[in-house]
Amino acid sequence: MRSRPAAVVAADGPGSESFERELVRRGRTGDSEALGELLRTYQARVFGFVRRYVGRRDEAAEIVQEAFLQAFKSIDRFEEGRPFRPWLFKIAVNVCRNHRRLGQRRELPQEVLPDASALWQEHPAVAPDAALFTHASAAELEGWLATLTAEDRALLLLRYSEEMSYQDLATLYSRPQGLLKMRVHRAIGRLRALAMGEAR
Amino acid sequence: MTRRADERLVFAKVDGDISPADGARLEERLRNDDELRRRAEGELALVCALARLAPEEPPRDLVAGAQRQLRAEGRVTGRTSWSRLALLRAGLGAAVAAMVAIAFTAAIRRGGDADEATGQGEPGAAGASEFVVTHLSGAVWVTEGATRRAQRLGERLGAGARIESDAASSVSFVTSGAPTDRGATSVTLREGTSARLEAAGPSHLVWVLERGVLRAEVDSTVPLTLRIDTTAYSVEVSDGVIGALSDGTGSLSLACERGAATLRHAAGDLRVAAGYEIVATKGRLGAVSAVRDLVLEANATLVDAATTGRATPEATATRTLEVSGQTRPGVLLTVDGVPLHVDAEGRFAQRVNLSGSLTQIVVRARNAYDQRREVLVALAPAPPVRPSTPSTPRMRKLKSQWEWERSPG
Repeated sequence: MRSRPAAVVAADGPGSESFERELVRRGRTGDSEALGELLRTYQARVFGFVRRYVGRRDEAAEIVQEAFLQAFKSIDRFEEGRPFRPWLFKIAVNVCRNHRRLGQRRELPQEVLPDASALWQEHPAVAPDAALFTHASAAELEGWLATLTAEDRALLLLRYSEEMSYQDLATLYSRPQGLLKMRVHRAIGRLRALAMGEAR
Repeated sequence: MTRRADERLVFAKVDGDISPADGARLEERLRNDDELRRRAEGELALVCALARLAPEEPPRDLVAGAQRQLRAEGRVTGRTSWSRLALLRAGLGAAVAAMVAIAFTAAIRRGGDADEATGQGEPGAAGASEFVVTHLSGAVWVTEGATRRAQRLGERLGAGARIESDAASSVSFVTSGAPTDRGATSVTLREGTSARLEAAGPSHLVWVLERGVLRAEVDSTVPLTLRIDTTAYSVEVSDGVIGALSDGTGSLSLACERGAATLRHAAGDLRVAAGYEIVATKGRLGAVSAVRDLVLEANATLVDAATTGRATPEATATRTLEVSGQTRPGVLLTVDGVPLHVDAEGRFAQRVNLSGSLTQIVVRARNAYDQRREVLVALAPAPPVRPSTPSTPRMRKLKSQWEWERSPG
């Protein structure tokens, strides 16, 4: 059950734009409750993304709290009229990178890494891709994701799990859309190769 | 076409950004290249699996944690350090401001009561909620007073506004306004279903009409009444968070997260508490049950496949599939965008026509809580398609034989 479902959920995203704009406007004038309300609507999404990025729940909670703190502190630098979600995820990605840079990253737990070749053995009679991927559970997928580089993992999660447009990704990464599309293409190819055991 | 060009086309398809011409070219290549088809299906399946990764609830309220940290840092840096005298001054100031505010609010309320008593309240006047249109597609009309006009994006609607749309249009809007606001609006659906909302207090309301489907979601911290009237029943919700889903054909699903809701019906009222949902189909009430994870099991069998048009890249294969399975009653179900009918027990079995040649389809379910589930269903290998109509029976036979020999199955 969702913790806070209906209020701000519109047809085309986690928050209706006018509602978000209003909360951002109030947040910029120092209303931390308004900004807090907006951040809460993104809390589960940002936490899910960061948890998959770093691999551990306790570390992810630490990072997301730090990202939210940064959002509170820098909301006055947020350009009104621009989309809020890429801005927030950019902060989260930057905090994740800083954690890694500072050597606070722990190794991903090995138990989330499934043996893809064993999965293959279970379905020897059918086309490997279809069998492997149709039966892939979320845990298996996360295992394959965990073996990608952090940047590939982040790109795939933002593009397909968070359903960000290339325009949003370009805002987030400050890179041209064409370049990001190419990186996503390569990342999905690497993920497929990993899932099929080609990279082992 | 080079392998690299093929892979780029596959990625464009998987990424959802392929032109019709490239799409037709790729379909042609997929028919003749098993390895490429497996690659496309594999990447599509991975992307679907990525899209299914759910958000995760954190172990604690991280926003509150950040706010506490912010306050703590403020104290450390002295930005909010207050002297005792300053605190006293602030307290006195706040008390005076509160007294002025109470007197002002009482004056406004007296004015508002007079308006209500005489029925002279004007839509959009002070004291009425405003509804801001945040999404608009197709033909949507709004009636305010005696005026009926096309609705515009970003428009602010006052209390009592009536919104109408046809089956191919959609509209959503949210409320805005001060805590003392009070407002009402109504929405008309294609089958004569109507919804009326009366809200008081700081509530956020989202109504979404999607192609004849109404989804209403309400979150309020104060009592409010939501009425969804159909030919068969009406719903009243008070003081809570609800999700309501109606498919416009007499099915209604109502989930209550906080507070309570009542479904009024000719046979009697059904009351639902937080954590429970009611499902009604064609006027028949289902049992009240606890909201559980959305179940979705689906099978798909290929019934028929044929190619329409001439043997050009634009020719598309159409297939008839028998899609069946089990989900929960009141769920909105689609297969590759085509809606499926779900009966009162949650069963479905329907033939659908789809285009394309991939051997997997995606079945999507959504309930009133906006819980979503997708399953990827593998089809048995399709029989070979006929790319063109050969001019003679002899040629037709040879062509068919040639394709059977080339087909993977």
